[in-house]
Amino acid sequence: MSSAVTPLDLRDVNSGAAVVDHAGIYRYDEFDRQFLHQRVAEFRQQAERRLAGELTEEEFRPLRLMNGLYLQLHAYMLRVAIPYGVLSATQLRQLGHIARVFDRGYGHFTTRQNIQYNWTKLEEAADILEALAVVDMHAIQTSGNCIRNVTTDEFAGAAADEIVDPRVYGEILRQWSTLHPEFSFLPRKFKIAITGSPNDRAAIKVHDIGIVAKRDEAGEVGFEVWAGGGLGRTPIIAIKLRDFIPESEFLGYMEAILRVYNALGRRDNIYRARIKILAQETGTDRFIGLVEREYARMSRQAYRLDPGIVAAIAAHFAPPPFADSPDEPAEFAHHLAENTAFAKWVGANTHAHKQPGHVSVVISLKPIGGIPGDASAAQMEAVADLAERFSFSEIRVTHVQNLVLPHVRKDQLFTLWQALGPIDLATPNIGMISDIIACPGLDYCALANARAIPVAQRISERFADLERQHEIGEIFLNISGCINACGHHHVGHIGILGVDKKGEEFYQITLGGSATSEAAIGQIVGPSFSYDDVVDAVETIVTTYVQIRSAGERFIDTFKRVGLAPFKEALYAGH
Amino acid sequence: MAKKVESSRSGTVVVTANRLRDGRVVWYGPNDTWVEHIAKAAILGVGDDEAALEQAQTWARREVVVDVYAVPVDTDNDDVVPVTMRERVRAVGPSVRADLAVTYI
Ligand code: SF4
Repeated sequence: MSSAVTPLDLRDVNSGAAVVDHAGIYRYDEFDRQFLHQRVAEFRQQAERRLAGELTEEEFRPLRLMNGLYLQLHAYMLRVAIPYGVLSATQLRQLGHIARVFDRGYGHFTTRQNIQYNWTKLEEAADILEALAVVDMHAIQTSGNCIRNVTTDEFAGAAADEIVDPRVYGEILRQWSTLHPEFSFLPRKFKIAITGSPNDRAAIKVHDIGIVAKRDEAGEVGFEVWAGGGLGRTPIIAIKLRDFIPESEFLGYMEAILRVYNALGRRDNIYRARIKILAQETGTDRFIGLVEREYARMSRQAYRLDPGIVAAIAAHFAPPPFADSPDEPAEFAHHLAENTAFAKWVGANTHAHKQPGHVSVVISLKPIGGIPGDASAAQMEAVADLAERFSFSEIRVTHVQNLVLPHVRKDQLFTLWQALGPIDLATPNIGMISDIIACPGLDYCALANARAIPVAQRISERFADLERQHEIGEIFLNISGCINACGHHHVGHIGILGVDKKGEEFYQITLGGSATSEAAIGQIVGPSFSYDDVVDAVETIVTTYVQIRSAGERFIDTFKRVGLAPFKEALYAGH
Repeated sequence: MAKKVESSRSGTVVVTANRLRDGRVVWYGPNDTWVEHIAKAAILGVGDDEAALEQAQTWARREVVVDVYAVPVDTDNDDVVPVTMRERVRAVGPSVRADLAVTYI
């Protein structure tokens, strides 16, 4: 069964301008579309041959994984790529449609800015891929030892502090890495993150390659390049390779890093195969030397990034047709003064925009007691509608598992907030203790040791009082169901890792991690806690912080000042 | 790949797999069938488990199910409860979505 999406006549509520062709979303050309449809047809045949018994599971497994189809605990899981976390309203509406028709009415947004469907069927997988292709989406390279979806700042193209729009280079990386013949069978999977702001919101230092797009004194674009970072079994902060690689040399330098990794990365031991291990085992200086030597050997001309190509891609990401709007509209100020719940939401869930009179809005997918990152089909469709009304049809997925409407006029914020409330999407908790990252854990994932979601739900319920959350202030709490660390527990201010002890769930807590420009790996606080005790342990940590913090001090600052000792003391004294 | 599992008090097991066409969890039932609820699974004691597992594997070779393995269980008052949390979750459905729990028909 395939499903068509009819083009809609979309109009911006302010200007009345058609927004269906708005430039904020990269659009495929005919070549891309043809390729996707061919790929779906190919997979349809492969699935049919598997169902007919002509292919064994051993033969079929790599083919389905190349198309993002995993077999998890309860069913097949399809992981769909959302390039650099950017979606159009039409695409999000189609994701909701797929959840409704092919899944059980919901999807799960991940820390890699992707979406996962938990209940797909092999016999319908090609139909789902067809439905994705209709809106220029796919699940290619969401598995396997290749370059995965490039992730970026959720406020790209909108943030007041942005120097360079990272979507442009995210798209260049996507085009370069998709089906790259040399890098389709790397020693292990490979993840790239890029930010265009000095305030890292893309966790670039814990990626295989992390990139900071910036400008030199002459205003020319270039890139600070980091490599060898990663989480998982061996968490490591990346090392800086270059302070500024000019734009024209961007892809050549990426190619050099990948070549060194492809040639020298270990293939004999899955746990030692990531580039971070290569960099550590080789030694920082020698590793950098290897990349530089490879780069020096390569033809500059052959790998030169043509400014014409950059300009053509940048045109896709031109700013939307913003209406002139005062920076502090009277209506907005009035609602802020009159409605404390609205003011609280604005304080927590909006981010400064480069365009006067606008903000970016973070839609929390973390209602109190909810499942982090899950959205129902109805919620996806509703957000798609709201994006059309309020944000030029654009949506972003954050690596913290929330959604963003990047360009909202301040004088329309109150109306938007009122629309989000009834669909349970207006929880004012961004950056607070209930804005938890949680991987699917043992409720869905075949690799898990312990459940992550119900721990997140219980912590969220324990801190349900939003007044209290706001008094506590910024805390990032991240949970992973196993050492693979999809829930980024190592870089949570409070990190929780599920471990298996004789078939039962236990939780190890780390403190002091950070995924920002000052990235740090959390330190283990002590022996692990049982499923029953872990929420009390979190509360003890938070209470201890509140007791010892200096005025205005965030959790992470207090931790840097006092270290583990007071938390250890509070958690284990008397044990 | 089957995870290493603890053994049950009595050494009893059931045999499980995922159904090829939809990935759904299934249990090896009496009379060489596959059932969707663990309560209907064949309870296998020491001695008859290996033969049943071997018979169940033939369904994988016939491409009906994938990943066939034995799951240690405790059986109390007609309840069949896997020893590990992982298999308890597989048997019932995600612990966080009671509305999607595997129903006993
Ligand atoms: S961290 Fe482990 S349990 Fe969680 S999604 Fe990743 S592999 Fe699964």
